[in-house]
Amino acid sequence: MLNLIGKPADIAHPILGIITNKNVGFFHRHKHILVTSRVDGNWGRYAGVITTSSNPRELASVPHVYGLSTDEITKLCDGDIVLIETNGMVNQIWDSDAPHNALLATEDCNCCCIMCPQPRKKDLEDKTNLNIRVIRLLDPKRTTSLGITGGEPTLLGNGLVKLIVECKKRLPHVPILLLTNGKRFEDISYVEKISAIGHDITFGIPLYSDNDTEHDRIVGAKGSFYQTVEGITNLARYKQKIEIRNVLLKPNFNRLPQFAEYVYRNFPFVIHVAFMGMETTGLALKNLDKIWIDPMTYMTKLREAVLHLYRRELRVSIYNLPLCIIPKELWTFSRKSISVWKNIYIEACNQCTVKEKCCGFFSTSGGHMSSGIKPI
Amino acid sequence: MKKGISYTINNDALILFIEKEFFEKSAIHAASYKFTDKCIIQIEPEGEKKIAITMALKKPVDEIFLEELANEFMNEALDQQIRLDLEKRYGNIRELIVRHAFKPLENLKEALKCNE
Amino acid sequence: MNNKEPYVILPMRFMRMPHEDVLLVNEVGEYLFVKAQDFENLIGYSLDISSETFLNLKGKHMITDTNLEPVIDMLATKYRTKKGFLLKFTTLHMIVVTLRCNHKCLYCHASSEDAAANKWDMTTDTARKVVEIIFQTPSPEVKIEFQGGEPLLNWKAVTTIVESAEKANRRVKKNLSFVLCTNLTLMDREKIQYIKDHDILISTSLDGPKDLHDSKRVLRNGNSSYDLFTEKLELSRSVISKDRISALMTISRDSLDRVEDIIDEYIRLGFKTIFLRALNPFGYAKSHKDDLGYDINRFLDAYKRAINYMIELNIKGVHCREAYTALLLSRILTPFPTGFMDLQSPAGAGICGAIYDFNGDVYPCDEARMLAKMGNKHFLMGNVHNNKYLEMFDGRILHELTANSCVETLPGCAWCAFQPYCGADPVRNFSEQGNIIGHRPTSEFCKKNMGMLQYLLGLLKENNDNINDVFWSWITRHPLERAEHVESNRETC
Repeated sequence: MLNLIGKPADIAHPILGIITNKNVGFFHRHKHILVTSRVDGNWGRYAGVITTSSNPRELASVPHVYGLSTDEITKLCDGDIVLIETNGMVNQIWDSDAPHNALLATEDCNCCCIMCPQPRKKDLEDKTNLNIRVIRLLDPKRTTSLGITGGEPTLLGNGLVKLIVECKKRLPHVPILLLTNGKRFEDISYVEKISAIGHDITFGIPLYSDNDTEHDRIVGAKGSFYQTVEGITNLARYKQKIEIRNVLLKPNFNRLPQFAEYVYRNFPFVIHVAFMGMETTGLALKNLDKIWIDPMTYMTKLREAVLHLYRRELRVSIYNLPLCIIPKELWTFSRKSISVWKNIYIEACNQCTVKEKCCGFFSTSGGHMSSGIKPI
Repeated sequence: MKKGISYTINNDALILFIEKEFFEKSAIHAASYKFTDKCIIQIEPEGEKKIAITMALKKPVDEIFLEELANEFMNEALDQQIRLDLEKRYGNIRELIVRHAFKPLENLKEALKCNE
Repeated sequence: MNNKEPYVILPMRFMRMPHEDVLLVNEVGEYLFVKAQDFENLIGYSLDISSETFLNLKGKHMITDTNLEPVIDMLATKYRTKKGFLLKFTTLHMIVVTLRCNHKCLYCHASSEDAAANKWDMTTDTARKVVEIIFQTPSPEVKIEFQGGEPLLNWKAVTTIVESAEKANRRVKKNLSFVLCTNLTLMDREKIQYIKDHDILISTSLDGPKDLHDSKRVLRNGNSSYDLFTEKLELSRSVISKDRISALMTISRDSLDRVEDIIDEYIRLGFKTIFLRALNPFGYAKSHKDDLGYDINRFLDAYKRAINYMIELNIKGVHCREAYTALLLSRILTPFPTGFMDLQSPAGAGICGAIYDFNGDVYPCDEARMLAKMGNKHFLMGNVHNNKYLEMFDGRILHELTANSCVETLPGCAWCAFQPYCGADPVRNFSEQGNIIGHRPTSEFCKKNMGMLQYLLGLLKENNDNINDVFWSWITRHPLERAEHVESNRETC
């Protein structure tokens, strides 16, 4: 997410608010953070102000951040939700332009995936209250979807239930995509609690192999595979929507077709299967030699797995792989999957005829790109 | 020749001698069953350690056919013994699967332990 | 788990195949081909646990080297799914509204009587009683299939049943549907409109091009059945949509060498699905066996040629599918149950479908009714006028049939690798072989299914993209759009 650092003034505690570039009515100002280059005017009722000005005495007693460049503040759009820290850091929590946004439920996790882009951290504080406040700020008419991610969101236990209840209350028509390893759903009473809320949730659950040995090795926690399977089974019992996600790595690419068959025979009720190119950041970077493989090497297996599921009328997607390295036959499964804030294209892409349709690359890709990359 | 089985051909009939040490009764019966469309089969003890199976063909045949039949029977007997051995090993698991399918067991782990 | 052995072998059956292959099939129909040497190693507990074969076996729930309990749980779930048809109980209700027919087809087993004799018609009173009994089924789904003779000859019974059923259904709200099995030759505008108004599906008979069709499907008045059929088909299609009319055929000796012609004719007349049924030895057919009959191996040869031909056509873009093959493929390739009552374990007779004769007699299947016609009422469950629902559907005959038709326990079937794909036909066993258990080595039913399954698995083993695409389009009933031609729906994730 976008992070800006400015100079803080009068910020006693973190401020959460909706970005606005123009004045809003008095009664709504307490929810908003004004972004402006002008500092004259009565900004008293705003939750906070962000400005380019160098040291605006005029803003005394209004919590504000100053000294940012014009370039920087143009990145903040109407409808964005930001958190201003006491040290002047501005964190974009919600990007109103992005087709998909996710709330970070927790940084804690009960796994240690070998390619984790967001390694486990002990939360400095419980994020649930903050997230509830974000949900309350979102406009139900303009919010089309909401993700809940982590870490592992189910570690919040009832905290997760609270979040979903808030969504049901404030954003009843906004479907949630909950990314989870599903292990906590071994406890069927937990599944019951969440499904009783009655909100439209899709559970995005990773499965990395058709056998537990390989999956557990990748996930870094013994017993995970069968715990996840039990979670999936319990969710299915409550007729919840489930999506299976697999990440394409050196240790597991060889069995992609067998994996596809395993998903179909054992979880024929899933609504979607996603094959994801890996992101080289976090633990993935650390473990690169164990997991990196040129996607060109696994294309044949990926093709077989994708078509296997396609014939069986299961919805399939390929995420994070640029079109130049996917056989044309599979382009229909490719999605623009990379979050806007970490999405880049390279020099060569400027000559590419399908750049608009392509998902491009992760900004973290660094030197690890496929040998097959070239403009179409 | 396979271990535990030998045969002779006698006036249009094939007689196989099966050593009880290597083949159980069920395996022999199951193997014989396969040939009951072509043959009339008689199963009798042959001494303490063996069983004699007489396969009389319903239609006249030549010796080559009987030799092939003997080989087929021997292979089938071996496979049936394999099936029997496997069944002894996993038979209880299959039962558990069917039971668990229709009337889910509260404690599958316990049920597994009892069956071992 | 036994500490001495590196892995546990889970329930499965095996079959030796050509080229040193062994086919393994687990309890729920998941299959794997392994090399004979690997199979020896597997059962000798010496299979290398890091080998691809080992991992493949694990993925198919044929072995486990880690946990046993969750695997049993998963297998139990899949098993329950496969046997899901049991939960519904009797869903298909076939009603013989008349024995009269305007045809005298050479292979007909419905023992049809002359078109003029009304004493072979179901009375409206019996019709209503039949519907009363039908609606006592616990099944959430009721499919009423009109049979005969020729049902159009007793239209009154058909309309009475449709209307009584719809009325009865207003209260219980089951998923009610109707199928009319008819030769179509007596169709008129009024009837086809009624069929449209009540959403009735039509199942008709087409034996191939005119010469083949007319040589077996003989109109009692001597005219060409084919000409009349095509005329009425056009009439019907002017009122109801094409996909509401399906056709099937019975293969007789003459048709064996002309399967390609038959398939071409089906396509020419706009039928997307064909059902190549082997000759049933009952009724009239038995007396004509010398003219019509054939060795089951000849049927299998014709069948294989037909499927090969249809696969080729599909690859060329002509979408046509064979119904029984689609059924077998569903059994092999999907985790789901199928509803075809002749291929179930326990047998579908009575518990999946039942047939009501024109006089109200109730039988568990058509073969049972035919047997009664030939003098043996062994399987007569009762009569709608005299017996209550439970007397018939929870009676001695169904119990005996069901208990003795589980392939899991029948000799020959119990250890057959194709067990999860196959089913039992106890009434046919009784008729052909003298008892409901039957004798597998001489069973034509067994030979037929084994032959077809061996052939299909051989094709699946090739893992050929084109064949897989075709087979799956048959299972899903959707012509497969090649992935490269699909307009990419650029949804974001």
